[in-house]
Amino acid sequence: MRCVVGLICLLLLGGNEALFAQHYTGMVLDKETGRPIDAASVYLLSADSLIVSYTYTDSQGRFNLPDADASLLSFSSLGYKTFLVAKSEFTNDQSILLQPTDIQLREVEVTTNRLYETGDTLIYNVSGFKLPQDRNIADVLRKLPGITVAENGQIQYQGEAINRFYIEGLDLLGDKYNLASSNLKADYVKEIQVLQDHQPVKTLRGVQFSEQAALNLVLTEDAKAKWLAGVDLGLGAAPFLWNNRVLATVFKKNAQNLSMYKNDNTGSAIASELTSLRVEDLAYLQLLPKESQGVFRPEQWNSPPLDLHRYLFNKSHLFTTNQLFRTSEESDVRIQFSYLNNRLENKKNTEWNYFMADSVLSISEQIDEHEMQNDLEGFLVFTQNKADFFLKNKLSMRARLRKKDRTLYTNQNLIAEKYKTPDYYLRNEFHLVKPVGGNTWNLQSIIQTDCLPQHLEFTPGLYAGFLNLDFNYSGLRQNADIKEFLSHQLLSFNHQLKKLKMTYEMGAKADRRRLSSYLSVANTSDVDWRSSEFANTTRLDEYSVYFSPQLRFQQNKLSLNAVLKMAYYRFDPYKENLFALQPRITLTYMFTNWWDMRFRFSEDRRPFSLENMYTNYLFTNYRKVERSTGWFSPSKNRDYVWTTAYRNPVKGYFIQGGVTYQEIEKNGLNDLMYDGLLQKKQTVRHDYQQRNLQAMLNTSKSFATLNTRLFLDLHWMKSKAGQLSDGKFLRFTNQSYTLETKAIIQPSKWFNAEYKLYWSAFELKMKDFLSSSTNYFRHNLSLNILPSKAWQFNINPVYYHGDAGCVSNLFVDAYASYRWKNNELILSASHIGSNGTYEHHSFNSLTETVTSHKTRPMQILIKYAFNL
Amino acid sequence: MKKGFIIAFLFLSSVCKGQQEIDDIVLCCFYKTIQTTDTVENRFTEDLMRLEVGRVASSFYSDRLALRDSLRKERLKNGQAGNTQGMPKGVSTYRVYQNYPKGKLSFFNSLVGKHNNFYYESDFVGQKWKIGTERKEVMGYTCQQATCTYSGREYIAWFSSEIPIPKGPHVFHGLPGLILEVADTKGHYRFEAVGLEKAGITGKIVYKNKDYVKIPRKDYLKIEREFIADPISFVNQYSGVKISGLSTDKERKESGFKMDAYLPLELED
Repeated sequence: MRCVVGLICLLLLGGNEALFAQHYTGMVLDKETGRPIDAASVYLLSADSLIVSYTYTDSQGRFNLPDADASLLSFSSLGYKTFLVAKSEFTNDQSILLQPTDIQLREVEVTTNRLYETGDTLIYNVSGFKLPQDRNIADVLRKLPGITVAENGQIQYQGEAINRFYIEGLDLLGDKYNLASSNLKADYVKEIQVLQDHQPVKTLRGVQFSEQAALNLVLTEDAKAKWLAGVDLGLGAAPFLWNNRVLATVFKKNAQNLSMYKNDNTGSAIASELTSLRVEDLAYLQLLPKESQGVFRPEQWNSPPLDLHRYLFNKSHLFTTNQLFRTSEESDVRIQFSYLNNRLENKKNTEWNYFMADSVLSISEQIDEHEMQNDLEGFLVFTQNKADFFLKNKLSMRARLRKKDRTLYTNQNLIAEKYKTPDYYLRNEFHLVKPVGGNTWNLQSIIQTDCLPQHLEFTPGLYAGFLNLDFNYSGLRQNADIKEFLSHQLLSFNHQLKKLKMTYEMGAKADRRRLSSYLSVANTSDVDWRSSEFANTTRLDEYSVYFSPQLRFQQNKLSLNAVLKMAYYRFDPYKENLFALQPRITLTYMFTNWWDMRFRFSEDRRPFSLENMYTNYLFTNYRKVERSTGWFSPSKNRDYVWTTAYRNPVKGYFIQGGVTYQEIEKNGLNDLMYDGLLQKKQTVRHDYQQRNLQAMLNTSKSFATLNTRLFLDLHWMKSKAGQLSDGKFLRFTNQSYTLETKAIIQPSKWFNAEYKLYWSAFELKMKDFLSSSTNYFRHNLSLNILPSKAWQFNINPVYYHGDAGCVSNLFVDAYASYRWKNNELILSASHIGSNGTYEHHSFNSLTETVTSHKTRPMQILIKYAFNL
Repeated sequence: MKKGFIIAFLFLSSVCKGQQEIDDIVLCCFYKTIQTTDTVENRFTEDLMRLEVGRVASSFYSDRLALRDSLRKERLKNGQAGNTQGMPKGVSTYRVYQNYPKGKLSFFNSLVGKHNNFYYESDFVGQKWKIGTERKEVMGYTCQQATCTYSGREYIAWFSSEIPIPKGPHVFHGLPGLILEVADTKGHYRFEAVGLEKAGITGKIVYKNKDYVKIPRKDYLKIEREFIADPISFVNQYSGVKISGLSTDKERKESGFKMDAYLPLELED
């Protein structure tokens, strides 16, 4: 009891101090209205006017301020006169009335420059992203947020191809920027600038919105304004292997040059560095004529799902030089020249099964193929890019001299096939932009001429009966010359109607194509092959005019983009006319910031190609001959695409799904007939509809454990199609499934690993007759060990296995690299465990194949790289 | 009941619109902000921010970014597409409302692209300031020093009782005068007043939450940290853009990505 009383006494005494400490309480009110003032400052001032204790009023104007060592109480609020009172004169719960007054503030003008930086530039410091294993600038680009580098070298920013690749602000390489990104050392680059929404045409800035970004490489001081050279030397076995490169560059303010010689026989596809990558917008690309492929098809099969370098037997030499001169502040001239000499070898055995109405034709081929490519390509580009005027003229020329010799054992018969497929083209592209009045006028012109004088020879003489010969002959030569002239002129302008953005395009196109083909058969000088049913002189002149208004509209969560192309075509000498409406509508709706949905509908009319127009026979390879009835059969394609995406950063996952339905309508169809080995293909009139349905799902999830990321992509497609076989219509169904999954773990700086699994299955069904399927797996593991900045080790096993009966393959690649100063030494071993062949089972329409490709043997390469 | 419906309707319509005027602007203060992004190479970003002070609420956002948006709208109105070439560049994508909604602090930010616009609301409680005795002049106004610890960082602020408003830049408030300068002791964040103007009668504070997703503060801080620590995997995960390339936090740090310096202002939940 005593204790309790003591405790109470203690509490009371302890509380005493708080109880009796001085607090100033009261209310602050507006003197004129009597209303309480919210958030007025109430503070105690010391003798030297320092605030020592403060509070501010609540919404009722009340305050409660603890006492401190001070002499004055101050009450103030913006828009009121400050009221000061001596502590001694203040009584608690007093109301302080503040007198409203004009706000007395000394205004201070902002002197900092508001235009801090122009454009939407993201600047990446290369040293911040570069990892020890990164050699060229493309390796670094792959690590930048928002940037992807596709397999062909195309750089994309947020899923959209870039529209310029500048080095120090100049466009040295145009669409051949892969030469720089794959070869320029990452150490030479200080910064990578991403110019978002970049409009390269100055006069269109603020007029025409670009969704494409550009990249600009800012070089280190060491790499600027002087010649730099780098040499890579590589030697290996077996057989004798070489892989060398000499690169020289100079990047001055008024002139730039990049020149390179490279050679290789290790299986690396150096020719792909010359691929033209997309730099223009899609609309412009649609203006460019499709590259004519010629009529000959030595190989009608897709490449196997095996990395090219495992079965590419090559001897390649590449030389390129690219020079840019600035003629003034706003204009430049660019000259580019490239030469490729590429010898390719390929060995494979293929079993073909052609399914017909009630039988199967089987053919086996053993192919030994040698190809020689001599490609020359050059560009001359003049650009003047002013704020009120833009002019660009690009002259391109290309000459490709290509030869392919094939030795085949077809069903045990020896056949030699020789293709000579040169092609030449000359193209001029002209682009002028000029603002006139409130509108900007855009004039584009493309003129192109192509020439493909090609031929095919095969021995011994085959199909004597088909050729109406009553004797055996030693060989056949099929000539096919294609000539094309195209002129396309386009005028467009933009304007805005309230919330609608409109673009109008008007164009005129003339496309004149000629095909002349004839046979020459050994020992038949008495037969006039040029006027037989094996000769064609076909002409197709397509003239078209079109008008295409485009409408864009956006409000809140909905956006709409609609285009209606109205085109009138005239085909001579057939006097055929066609009027086509080609609509395309895209609707996007954002339910929430994390969930959106998109629907697209498009209808397209595809007019005819010259290849459909020849009415007499033409051999496209030694066992295929084709002809068409010469009927016009424009196809109609309708696409319905629906996609939706949901992303949740809080939970850490991303999911995207979509369905595509496609309808193709035609009134002409290929009829395939077999006469022994010979496949005769003829286009005949037949109403036909094909339907494809596909669905896809992509999802990813990240986990904090071991810094792991998982990806899963699924794809399914079903296609109901048909084909004529010897006059009978065969309907069949194809189904394909693919699954791709990937896991990346990065537990520490010195170790990271990536595992990928790819599975693909295919099924072909023909009612009451056929049901066949195939599938294959690919497992890919990559382990990187980086014990120090100088040393690096990588091991990369890949395992392929497919249907029962097909050979499984394991390939292991490994390398070790050591770096010091400007030198690097690499020892690599590739294709360890290669058994020399890769087997693949696949389907295409009503054809089945099992192919075994010869693969490269194990090889070892020592490479030394240094800078001069 | 009827009144309730009307209020509910007004509330809903304003929410749908995603934009509403919440207060009259009494004065505007401009701050130069410096945010260090790389301590080793001493890189930083700079922006000009605007603090709009109302009778009750205040808003704080990038003046450059706002200027840029208005120029963009102007161009659109004139029939030009929304090209942003040659426009001012603001780097601070956040927007802070103090005491709006009443008694709350609202923080908005867009991290990458449209899909990563978030905001959170927290209680509008002032930092626990310790008033110092040092004085200095900022823009000709006499300021007194105050210090506080907030969300894992220590700050030194300078406020002026000549402008009796308990507001300040970013989330800072609660001193008996406008905060004209505040910086953390590591020098990663710095807000310094460079201009002051009385607002015209027509000035209004506009509250915009269109296209922003409300999430709890701790979720926001988690996402922000994830974004800053590894923007590659952030973009990988949440925008559907696939980027190849490997790097751990530690690896990025050691290979030159100075993530220890490039930290969010708010370090702790």
